[in-house]
Amino acid sequence: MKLFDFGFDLAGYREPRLRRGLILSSVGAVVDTLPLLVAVWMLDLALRGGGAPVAVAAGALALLFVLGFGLRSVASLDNFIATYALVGRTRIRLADHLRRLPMGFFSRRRVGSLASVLTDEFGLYTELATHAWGLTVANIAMPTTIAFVMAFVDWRVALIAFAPVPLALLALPWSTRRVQRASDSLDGTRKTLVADLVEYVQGLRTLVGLGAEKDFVRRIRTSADRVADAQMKAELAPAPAVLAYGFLVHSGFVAVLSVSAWWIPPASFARWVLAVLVAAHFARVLSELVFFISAIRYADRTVTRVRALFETPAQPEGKGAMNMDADAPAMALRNVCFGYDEAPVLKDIDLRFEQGHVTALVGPSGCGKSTVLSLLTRLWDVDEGAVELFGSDVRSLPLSKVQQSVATVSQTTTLFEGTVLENVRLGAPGAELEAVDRALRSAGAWSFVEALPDGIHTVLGPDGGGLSGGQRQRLAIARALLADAPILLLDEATASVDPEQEHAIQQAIARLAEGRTVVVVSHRLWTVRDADRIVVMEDGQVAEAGTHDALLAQGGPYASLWQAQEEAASWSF
Amino acid sequence: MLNTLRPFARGHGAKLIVACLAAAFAGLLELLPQCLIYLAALDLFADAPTTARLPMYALAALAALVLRFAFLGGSLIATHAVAFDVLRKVRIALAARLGEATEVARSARTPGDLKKVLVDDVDQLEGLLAHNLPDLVAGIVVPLSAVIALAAVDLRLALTSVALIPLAMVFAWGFTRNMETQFAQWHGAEARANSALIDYLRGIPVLKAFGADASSLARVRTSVESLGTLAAAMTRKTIWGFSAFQAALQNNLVVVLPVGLALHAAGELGAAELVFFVALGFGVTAPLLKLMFIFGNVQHYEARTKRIDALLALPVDRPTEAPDAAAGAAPSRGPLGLRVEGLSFAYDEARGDVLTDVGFEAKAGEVTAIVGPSGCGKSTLLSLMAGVHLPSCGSVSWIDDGGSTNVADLRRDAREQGMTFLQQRAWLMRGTLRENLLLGCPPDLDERVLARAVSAAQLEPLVARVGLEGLVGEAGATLSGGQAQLVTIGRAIVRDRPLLLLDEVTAHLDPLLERSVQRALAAVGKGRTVVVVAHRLRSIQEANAIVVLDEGRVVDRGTHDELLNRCDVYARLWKAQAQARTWTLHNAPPRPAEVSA
Repeated sequence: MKLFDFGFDLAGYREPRLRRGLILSSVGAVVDTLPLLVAVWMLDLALRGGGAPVAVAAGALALLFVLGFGLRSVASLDNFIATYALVGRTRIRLADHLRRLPMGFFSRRRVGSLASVLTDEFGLYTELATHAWGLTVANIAMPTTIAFVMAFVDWRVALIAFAPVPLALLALPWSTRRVQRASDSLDGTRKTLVADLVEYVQGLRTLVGLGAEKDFVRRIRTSADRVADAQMKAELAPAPAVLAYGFLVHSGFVAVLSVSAWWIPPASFARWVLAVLVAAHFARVLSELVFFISAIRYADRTVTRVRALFETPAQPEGKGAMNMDADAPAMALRNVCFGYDEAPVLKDIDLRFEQGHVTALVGPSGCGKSTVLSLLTRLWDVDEGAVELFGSDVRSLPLSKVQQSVATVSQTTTLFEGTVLENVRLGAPGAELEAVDRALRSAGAWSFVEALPDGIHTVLGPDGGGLSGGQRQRLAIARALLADAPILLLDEATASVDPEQEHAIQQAIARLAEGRTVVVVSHRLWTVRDADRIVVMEDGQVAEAGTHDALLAQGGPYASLWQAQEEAASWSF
Repeated sequence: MLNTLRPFARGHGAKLIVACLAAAFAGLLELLPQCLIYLAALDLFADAPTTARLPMYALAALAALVLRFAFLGGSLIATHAVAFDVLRKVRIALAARLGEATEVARSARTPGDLKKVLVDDVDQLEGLLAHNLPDLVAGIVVPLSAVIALAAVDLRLALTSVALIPLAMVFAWGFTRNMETQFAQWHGAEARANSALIDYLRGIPVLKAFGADASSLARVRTSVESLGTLAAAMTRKTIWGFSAFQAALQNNLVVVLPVGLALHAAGELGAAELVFFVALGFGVTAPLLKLMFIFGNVQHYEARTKRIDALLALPVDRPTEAPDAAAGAAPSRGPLGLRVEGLSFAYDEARGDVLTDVGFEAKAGEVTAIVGPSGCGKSTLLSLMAGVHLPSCGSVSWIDDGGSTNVADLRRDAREQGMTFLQQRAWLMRGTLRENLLLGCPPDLDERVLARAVSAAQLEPLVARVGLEGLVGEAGATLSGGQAQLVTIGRAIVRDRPLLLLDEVTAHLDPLLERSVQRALAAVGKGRTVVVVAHRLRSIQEANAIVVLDEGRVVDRGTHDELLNRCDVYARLWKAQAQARTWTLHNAPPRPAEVSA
């Protein structure tokens, strides 16, 4: 049975220093125990009245002291450097693996918990993995050596002192199991408390405005009470096992004392005393083991989580070439069914996006418009049916092919810590400075970029801190211009822009859309009324499709949406 | 640090003292086996050796073992009970203080910062109270009593047993010397690695969309690898000193044995005493290693308790229970008007005023709109009117039949009784739809009021879908932005306050929802004094009065028609929005073949 999983195999390479450190620290633990042997040997001489060579004892001990120090230093150096390297490599490998997962994997909430695994939890894991390793070795090698010394001094005493140990060791997995069970229930109540606290700090402004903050504090109090109870239970849960372990480990010493009266011959009194002395020390050293195990447990949990992430399969990627069928639609959904989990979002939907056409997707919130865009960019793969790019199933193509063919401008633009240039160049990594300039001008971003302290070389903060919605959107448009993909997806591209900026952004979008196949999702029906085809979606299916005029004449769902919009437009307080 | 915790540990004093005493006793009992060996040795090495008392010693050892675990367990249970209770109280106190604090003080911290304190920092207090406290007691009691026991036999033994401590101190000084700078370096590198990882994670979908994900890993790799390099460098620097320190504390035999043997050989130490000396002196200094770690931890706690302290000391908003109740009480429940006079405000002195000398009046029962280009300060003005921020000069007053009341003088509950402030971001809590609608309402609210609000706020379709008892918020049904907006409007209708301050939502809603939101807004505005910050001029063109702000100053006020004719700022805004409203995406002709430059 493997008692702990340090996850060192996850680093993907063998670290020779780890092995050397392991051997050296084991030898070091033996050397650290040898003074006990010297002591027993010398005391034996002294107690039997023979007189012990003090100088020899001092010399031997000093030698062991220096030797032990040296071994410990070299072993720790190996252990620390090896484990830091391994854990670091695992972290990089995990980051590398994550980018191969289906893009849809990175929902907002997921990103939060992934971030905590990669940062805080990994920090804790590093701390434990780098320290626990050496300590565990010492905790196994040291008691073993002491047991041998004990047996060397008096095998009968050793036998009795050691007898309860196997039973005691059984208590360790017992304790782990009990802790596991209790902490599972603690995790649940804790999650509620943390969620309450997070919700509270996010909603404080609203709560105070409603005079409801005290009510919410009461809610926090209830969760905090439950957590305090669960924490106490979790703390007490391993107590029987831990107590049993400690008791059994020490009971060897009691057993030795109680049975010895009947069999120690007077001639071996001295030896017996020394054996008992070693037995007491043995129990003390062994009893520490349980504490290390409880510390290691936390590392174990992170490793389990990391393993699960490594086991999440990467998004499959085809190697085929694109047909480039001139008659095929630029993109198409063929009898597609798709759902994020149980509930189906798209139900057997068939859609064609003709080359060079503007196709609009409209419909009430939650009808599946954005999901269609997610499938077109391969954020997710379909459950049934197929998504085609110029007639080829996207799953048969390399991901890069889809990436080069489709560009998206959505309502939120993700920017990175880095210069404006780096952020825009994402669209085309090798692009000339001149091309970037052109794209920025065409996107209407030139004037504000020029006004930044270092122009195009200004470093933006994390997530492009400090830029307005309109400015971010212009950078996104420049990025897409630079990428120059034949297909453009627009997802509510002006939704987070100030109304007075909106028209300028619209014009930049018009320049971007020129000559491309466009799929546009918009709640603003008037912005798409000239589209070649308007697809009205309802509940994951196509309700109707056609041109604005045709749809309006039909008097179906589109007509009522248009009607609602006209009413909304003329409304005023 | 202790000052922070003291008020929360009140009532636990006796428990903590008993826990410390129990830990001390358990520590003492840890030494009993060595004492029993001494007694056994005395018996066996006597002129007339006897083993008769060995069973008795065994019994004593057994009793000591049972007692020791009882004390140890009792001590740990007590300290944990105290720790968990203190954690609980600190969290509740922090939450309560945040609720009472002024908005300005609160908004200086992000929700993320606050979460770090309320969750992570408070968690860490457990270690301090539950583990470090009893460990500290045991760490002092055990070596100290061992030394005293040795001194009782022979003072020289006691001195020998601690002889290596000065040497250990020298080693400790060696490796802790530059510890602080090294830790600062480490934390810096860790923060850089974490920020690179978070940036990377957040960006994976976008980077993938552009096929740029592989290169973006480079920053992660560099920062994580540099963390390993730094750890290696730090280890190389400190490991020798640390190992020597550890060796000096754990190898006490190196002095104890030779001295013991020499004294024994000189006939100054009996055989049993020699055994006792070796048995006790052997491990006397080892607990100091643990003490060292505990003291190392203290620094770590210091920073955390400082952050907790800072939150507990946030300035409190006007108290609910004012000393002179009449002074801050709400005006009569009749219609309320609002007057803004000579109002100026700056978030930060250095960056200058956001609002300068703003003055206007919103008449009772009318709709007053505030408009202006983005960044003109209109949302800030609304916050000031709501009393969320306090003006640096000037005032906001409520006007009723009885005269005017400065909002700054109102008690918090009075302010809340007079108005509803609807902000852009709809916040829903994890709970039922009913709980969300009744937030802040008295529990005995008439069910018919709720039913009317549901209908007026256009919530009937949502209620039909999830039910009033259905869960919403993070754990429940997913609501679109527009639906969440309807819920907050429903709240305002249930509350029924005379004054409504509204920051209009800019996000795009689907036409059906947009119409519902408008109908709901019309319902909530009816019969109330409404001040609305409008981003879309269309929706306020029929307002009774429109105040135009530009660069923090009022540039004009009037009706839509008046302003369209005479106010440049307003006319410009109107024109820009009208263009956006007629624009449509055309199918452009295919691009001509690329012409090479």
